[in-house]
Amino acid sequence: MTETAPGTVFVVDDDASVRKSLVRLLKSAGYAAESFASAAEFLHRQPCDEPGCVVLDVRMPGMDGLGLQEHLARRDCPLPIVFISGHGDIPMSVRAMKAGAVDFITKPFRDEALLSAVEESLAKCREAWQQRAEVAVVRERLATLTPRELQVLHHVLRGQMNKQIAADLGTVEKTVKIQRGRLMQKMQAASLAHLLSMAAQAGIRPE
Amino acid sequence: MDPALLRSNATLVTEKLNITGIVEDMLQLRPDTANVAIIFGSSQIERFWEAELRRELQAFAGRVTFTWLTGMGLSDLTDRCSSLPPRSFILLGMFAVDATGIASDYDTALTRIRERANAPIFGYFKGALGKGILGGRLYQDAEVGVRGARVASRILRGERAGEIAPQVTETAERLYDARELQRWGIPESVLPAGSVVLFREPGPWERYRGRIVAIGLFVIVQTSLIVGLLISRSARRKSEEALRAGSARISSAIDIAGLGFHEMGAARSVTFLDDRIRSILGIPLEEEARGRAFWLEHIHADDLPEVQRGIRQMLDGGMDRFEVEYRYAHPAHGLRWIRHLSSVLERNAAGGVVKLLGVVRDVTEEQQVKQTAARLRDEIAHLGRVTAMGEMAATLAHELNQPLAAIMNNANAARRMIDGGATADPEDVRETIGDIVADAGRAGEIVRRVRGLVKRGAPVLVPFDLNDIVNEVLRLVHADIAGSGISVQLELAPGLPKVRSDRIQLQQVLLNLLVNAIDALKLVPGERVLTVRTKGAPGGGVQVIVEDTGPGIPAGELESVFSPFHSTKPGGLGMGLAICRTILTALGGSIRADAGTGRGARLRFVVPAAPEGEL
Repeated sequence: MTETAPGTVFVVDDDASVRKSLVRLLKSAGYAAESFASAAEFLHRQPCDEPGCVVLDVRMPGMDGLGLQEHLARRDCPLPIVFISGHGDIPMSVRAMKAGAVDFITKPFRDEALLSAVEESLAKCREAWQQRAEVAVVRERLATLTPRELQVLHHVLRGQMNKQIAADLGTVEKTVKIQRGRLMQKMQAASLAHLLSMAAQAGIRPE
Repeated sequence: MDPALLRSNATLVTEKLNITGIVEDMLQLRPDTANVAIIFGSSQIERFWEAELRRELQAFAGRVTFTWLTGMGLSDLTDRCSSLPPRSFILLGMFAVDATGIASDYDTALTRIRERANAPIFGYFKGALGKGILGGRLYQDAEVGVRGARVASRILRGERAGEIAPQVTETAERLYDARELQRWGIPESVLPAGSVVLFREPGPWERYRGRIVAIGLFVIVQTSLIVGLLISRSARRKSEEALRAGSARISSAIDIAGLGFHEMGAARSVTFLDDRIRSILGIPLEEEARGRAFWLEHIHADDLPEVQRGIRQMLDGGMDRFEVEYRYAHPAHGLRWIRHLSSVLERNAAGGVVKLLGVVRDVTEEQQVKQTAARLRDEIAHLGRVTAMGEMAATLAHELNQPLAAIMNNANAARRMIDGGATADPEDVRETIGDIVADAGRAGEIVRRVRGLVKRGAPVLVPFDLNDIVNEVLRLVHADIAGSGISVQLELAPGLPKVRSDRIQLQQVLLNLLVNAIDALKLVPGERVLTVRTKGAPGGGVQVIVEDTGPGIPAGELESVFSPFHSTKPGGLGMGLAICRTILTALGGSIRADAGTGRGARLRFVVPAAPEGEL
């Protein structure tokens, strides 16, 4: 068995034998896999809260693959998607890729094609999860800031010197210097660059 | 006469007599007038007037001589009047009493004098006009009389005569008798201004009206008679011509139709064969006697029983009409198709055929056309299957892909299981291989379904006129249209650019649309109109529009009708329009349905025009 990334591979395909064979193949390659016969069944499972990826058939009765992709994107679901399709339909694949699919594989496919796409997806998911975790940490730290320290942070993000910040906030440079030091401490920022990257991660933009 | 002279108990009603005026008028009528004979009787009043005139006419002394014919008897008077000198006028003044004391009357005197007079007579009483006088300034005796009577009645009612104003009027009217003017050769143009001419001579119409009408009628009647005879002659000639023309027309019609006749009498004897039937059936002259046997010998063996059954039913079974088409081995032209129509014209009391007429026609060409049409239809139907496959190929590819994908996944999984060595559960591997076999079987099943459906090759693109296709396909569906009360409106735009496309595939498309339209029309009662139009498409191609007055397409289904397996027809595959769209898309064209102008469906497809250089 090869080393595999943690996470579950969710297989969504309406064809029972394909579904079964996919799960078998994924398991034989060491992945945890679950299968669903339709988009609705998959959504019912509420899969977005754990790491994993989706192997999704394009053509299905009810909500089709592209519809499910759109649905997941609207819900901010981090699961990467690998499409598998019986048709080499170029416009469809372009649409899927533009909407963020990791790959669009035409049936029948070599196992390496699917497995590498799945591997890439799980890596991506891992990355996303990591990023998510980091953001959560930054957000936690941001939550400890006083309103004054937040004000100073915004001025810092704008690239202002202490003197300017003091003038803007109607205080003296020395006070700003102290508040700024406390801000760096609370945010556990090693440098100004680190602070800026954390702010960006948390989605804070200079006002 | 001076009214002032009147007594207080008297009044006066009269007209002024202008005596000199009379002579002036004579001079105007005949400026060379030399003599005027004046007639008066012998009574006291006449003598008075004679004296008045003699006095007044002094004015003309030297210019005109006056002959006073007074105090004479009537016969002497007339004698004198008949021998007056030339350039004379007679003035008949009064003639109340002749010289012998015998009372006369004016009219008699006038008549007698006029009979012999050699000069025109002037008078001065209006009452004499029309009785022989030429005319003159005439005293309106009747009118003056009426006026006088009115005055008299006033007096009688108690008015004093002296208080009634005297009424003296001028003799205003110059009246002349046209007949007398004509008699004496005096033109109306010389009459004094204001003269009125009475008694104009009636024209020939007035005079001979009766006779003219009678003659006219006679002429009209006679002319009508002549014209009538001419018309009837020409009508007879025309009807003879029409008969000739009609018979010629019938004979040309028979020529054009290529009909041959035969007649059969009792006892199955051929009594008549025309030239054409001899040529159609190739019966040589020497065989004519046994014409019927010859004919039967040459009918194709497969068709002979039907012909013989028909003949039997006519001769013995009481059937009066028999129509049959059969193959016939023509001695010179080989195998021909003959349409043969027989009709019994007369039977005897026992029901036996006395007279039978038959008509034959060589329909070989029509049969060939029919067969060609049938073959074309077969081809198109085949093509339908082919293109249906094109549409289905996508569906089938997907279907086939599923088991193949499963097989591939399972095979790969099995390999990985085996590669995993000891960790692999043999039961898992066995199950996996079982699935592979099952999916392979499923794939094979799909392949079997596909097999045999596709035989022909890729589309052949050539430039051609789309209007030709419309006409060809309409010929193919002609039979469907003919029997179903559908009227076809064809609006083919002339001079359209040629299209570059696959002729047969476009026939298939159009046939499909027409068959759909015809099927739709058969669902509605009443008027059934199928309209086929061609015209230029905005993008430079050519479009064909097929419109029907059938039930139409619901607004929400205008697009879905092109989906595979969408059908509204019982037993329909629902592939027709999907195929049409597949074909047209492959050929670079398009097809769509819209609500149309009225009820019914309207489908239009566009085919790209051929590039300029390819025409």
